[in-house]
Order: sequence, then structure tokens, then C-alpha cells
Amino acid sequence: MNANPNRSWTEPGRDPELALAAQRGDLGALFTLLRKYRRELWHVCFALTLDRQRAERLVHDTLLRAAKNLRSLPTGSSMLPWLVRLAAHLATAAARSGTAGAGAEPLSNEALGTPITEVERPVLEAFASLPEGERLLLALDTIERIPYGDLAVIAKREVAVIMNQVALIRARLAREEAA
Amino acid sequence: MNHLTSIQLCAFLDDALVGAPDDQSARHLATCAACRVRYEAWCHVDDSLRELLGQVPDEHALEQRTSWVEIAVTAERKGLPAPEFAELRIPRTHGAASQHSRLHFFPAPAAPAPFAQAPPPAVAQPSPSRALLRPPVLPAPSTTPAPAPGRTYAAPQPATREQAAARHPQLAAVPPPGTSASGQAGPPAPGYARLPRAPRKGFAALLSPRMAWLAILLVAAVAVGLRFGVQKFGIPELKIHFRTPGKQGTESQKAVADAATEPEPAAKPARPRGGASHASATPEDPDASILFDLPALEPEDEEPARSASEPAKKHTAPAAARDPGIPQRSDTPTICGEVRTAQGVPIEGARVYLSSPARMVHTDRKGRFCITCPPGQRTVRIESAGRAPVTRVLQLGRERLETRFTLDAAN
Repeated sequence: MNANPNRSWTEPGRDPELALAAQRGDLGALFTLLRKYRRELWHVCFALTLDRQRAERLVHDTLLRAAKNLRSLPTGSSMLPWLVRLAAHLATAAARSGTAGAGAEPLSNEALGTPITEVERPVLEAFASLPEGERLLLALDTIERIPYGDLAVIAKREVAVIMNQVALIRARLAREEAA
Repeated sequence: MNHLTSIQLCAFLDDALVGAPDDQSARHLATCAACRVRYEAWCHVDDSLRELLGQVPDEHALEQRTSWVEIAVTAERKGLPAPEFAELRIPRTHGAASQHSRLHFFPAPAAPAPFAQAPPPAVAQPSPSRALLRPPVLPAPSTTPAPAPGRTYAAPQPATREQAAARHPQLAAVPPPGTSASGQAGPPAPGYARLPRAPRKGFAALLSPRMAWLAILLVAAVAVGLRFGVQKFGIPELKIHFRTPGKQGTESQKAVADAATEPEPAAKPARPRGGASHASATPEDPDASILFDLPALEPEDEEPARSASEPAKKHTAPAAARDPGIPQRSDTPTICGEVRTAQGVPIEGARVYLSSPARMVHTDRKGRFCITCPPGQRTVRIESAGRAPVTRVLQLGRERLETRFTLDAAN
């Protein structure tokens, strides 16, 4: 859940300043950036993997990749959307390779860290069957409650496209749950 | 009646509608059963996803993962190999067995991982060689509460530093909590491992204090040895000196200046070693030159000594008396002279040797030469191709000594 729902994910804040210092070799600034968004990043990774342990590994992978490729961070922008895109990219690559991903293994209470009821299982299985991009979009909209405008910035799409896509995903999940 | 579209329903569900559209959607949902069913179904999906996915992350595990990333980044910046990390023992809910696994981010070691099994963490100590790179595995906090019925996942709190250090002596070497690698304040890092010092490479490896002292001592020894060798054993010494031409106020100075401007090699007077006095320019040597000291030549024949004594006495009048325009320097006595044939023709390029100190100069196109040397009895030997050498002993005072040599044909 979003720790601060009122805060926009796309507000750069001190991110550009810290990113610039990190690119110049300031490890303290880099570590501050990495620690700043790890909770939000974990939620995204958990939605992408549906496994707590894999989510932590994905967080690790994403932070490591971000630390190495910090120069590709868009200038003057917030780091969190970039991190989310990076995590989605890594999750997609892992899912394609078959080593990880939400559909790699059947859902289990142990992986999720909570028991799943029979009512919830169809919803979760339908959610797990979505592509990584749609899963990420719905997780950001439903769990993180990110406005459509910020979702459009994160996904680099138009707001209308985002609204349409979220509606279609919800309708599909409801349909599969009813079935 | 028009039903709500999917986008309108989605926007209403996400509180994205404001004003009149929001009111109209609410009124429509209150009256339209079909749309309300859709709305309820979507709400159920959202609630289920929030319930299942909106869990609280394990702060302890996140902290360890972040610490590993920081250690890996720091190691990469320092040029160290990527460290290996053991998987944190994550407490599982519902009585599930704890799992130990290895990360895939780093290459697996050849030896079997000590964490592959599931012994108690206190028993699974890392090998001493890797103790610095591998953070100790912290046991799961015993105070981890069971998940509440409302599925609020209670993240285990990280153990305090004192508790962890009491159980694991390796943590005593861990940097103090709240400080990152760059010294900035941050949250505690229970999984920190101390990084080994980066090995110095290349020239930096030579900059250790011990090597610096050895280098200083070596340079000092070489300098002292050279100085001692030059003074005691007469090791040929390379001297480079620069001088500016003096005032051209007298005829002799003008003559020297004329000789200096000509391309032919002029007589280059030798200079005494080591002292500041030799660096002063003599009027006969206006050009910068490189002088090589040669060993002294002893007089080979006795005859010139006797025959040369008379003309030497004849021409040993001080130069100042004959040429008062030449500035005299009491501290730099000079032997100057002319080398001519029996017919009075100046011999150019004749070699003029001084025995002590060892000097050798050549005469200029006018057959003149000058050698600066300390006062005393000096032996001068003149050699020229095709002519018999002449050796002469001169008594040099503190003034300029002018002399003349006549070389006869060799036969």
C-alpha cells in the first residue's frame, strides 16, 4: 500500500539532485536514492512476481541494475517511474526465460505469505495470467492508487489509453472471476 | 437508459470523476441494477487484489537486500570482485519451513554452499576466508508475530546491533549503524559486511610509506655516491653552463666576440669543477657549451720544460699590465696564450692540455686559447697534427697569464 497516497510518483523532488551527485561518484547520494523507493518498488515487484521472496530478489536486481545504469535516468525526472519500468523489464525478461515470473509456479500460500481463500483464488489466478505490463498497470492503479496522469507518465502512454486499458483489465478479471 | 461505459465505471471506481460526472454516475448506479452488478464485481476484484497484494514488505529482508546492493556497488567502484551473499532466512507464515537458497546474481562458487542445507544459522558459519565478504546470517527474530486474521502481515523487526553482535562475533567488525559507506546517515544495516581494502594497482602500489622511504634513501645514496665518486675518483662529469657575452669595450673583447659569432669552433676554455666561480663567463667563451673533462697528461719530454721556461718567463707579465681593458678577476686565474707556427701563422684547432686540473681546449682560428685554473704550478701541453708537441710548466698566480707557444713541424 502506498505509504503516502497524496504524494505523486512523478514529482522529482530531490531525485535529480541526488542522481546527479550519484553520477558524479557520490555513493551516499546513490544509496539514498536506492533506499528511498524500496518499499514502493517491493509492492510493484510483488505484484509482478506474486511471491515475496522473488519480489525481494527482483528488488535486489532492480536496485543493482539501477545503480549500474543510473546515467540512463531521464534528466530532471523522478526516479520511481524509472525504477518501476526497470523492474517490469526485468520481470518480463525473467518470465520469458522461464526462470521466474508470476506464472512460473502455481500460487501458494507460502509464496504469497498469506492464505488464499477459494473466493480469492480465481481473481488471483486471473491476475497472474495477465501480462507483466497489464499486471503492473492494475497494481499501480488498484493497490498504489496512482492517478491516471501519473500512470500515463510511468507507462509513457496517453491518459485515455491508460483509462481504457485499466477498464479492460478490470472487466476481464471480473469476467474470469464470474466464470 | 444508457449504461455506464467501462471507462466511466473505472473512473468512478478510482475516484477520478469530479463534479457533475461523478454525481451522474452515482445516481445511475443507484438506479441501474446491471451497472451495479458490474460495479460490485469490479469492487470485489479490487478488494481481493488489495487484500492479497497490499502486504507489508519485510523490512528486515529489504534492508538486507539494500545493504547487499550497496556492498556490491561499493565493491564494483573499488574494483573488487562481486561479493557473494547468503540468502536471508525469511520467516514464513503458517508454519512453513524456512528456506535457504542462494541468489542468482553472482556466480556460484565451486565449493558447495554452506547454506544449502538447513542447519541452524548459528552453526552455519562461513569459512574464515569469506568471513569479510559474506554477511552473517541472522536468525529469524523469535518475536515474529503470527499473521493476524485480517491478513495484515507483520514484518519482523530487525534485531538490534547489540543483540546481533552478542550472538555473532562477526558483527563486531560491521560499521556502526546509521552510517552508509559515504558517511551519510541512514537506517541501520544489520547485514553489513566489512569490505576488504582494495588492493593497490600499478604506480599506486609503489606509493606506500615504506616504499616512499626506500625510494628517498636510494636517491640520497645515489647522490652522495656520485658526489663522492666525482670528487675522489675523477669520474667524468657532464657540465652544462650558459653565459652571456660581456661588454665589448676593448679590442680583445671585440676579437672574442668576433670569434664567437663565427661558425667555426672557437677555443672553449675549461672551467674548474664544482665552484660558482667557474660558472662565470670568460670573455673567450660567449657560447653555451658542453665541456668534458679529460684526464691530465703528464709531460712526456723534458726538453720543452726547459725551453718553455724562458718564453714563459718572458711572457708571464700580467695581462692587465699589457691589456688594461680586460677585466681581471683575482679569484679566477686564467692561462691564455697563442699557438703559432715558426712562421707566425696562428694554428687553429690545436689541443691544449692542462695537467692539473685536467683540462683540454682547442685554439680558435686566431690560435688563441684560455684555461681557467687555480693558481700554482701548471703544466700545459700543446698538440697539433703534423707538429711536434710542446710541454711547458707555468707558474700561475692569481692573475691572468699570457703566454705564446710555437710549434715546429714534426720532422
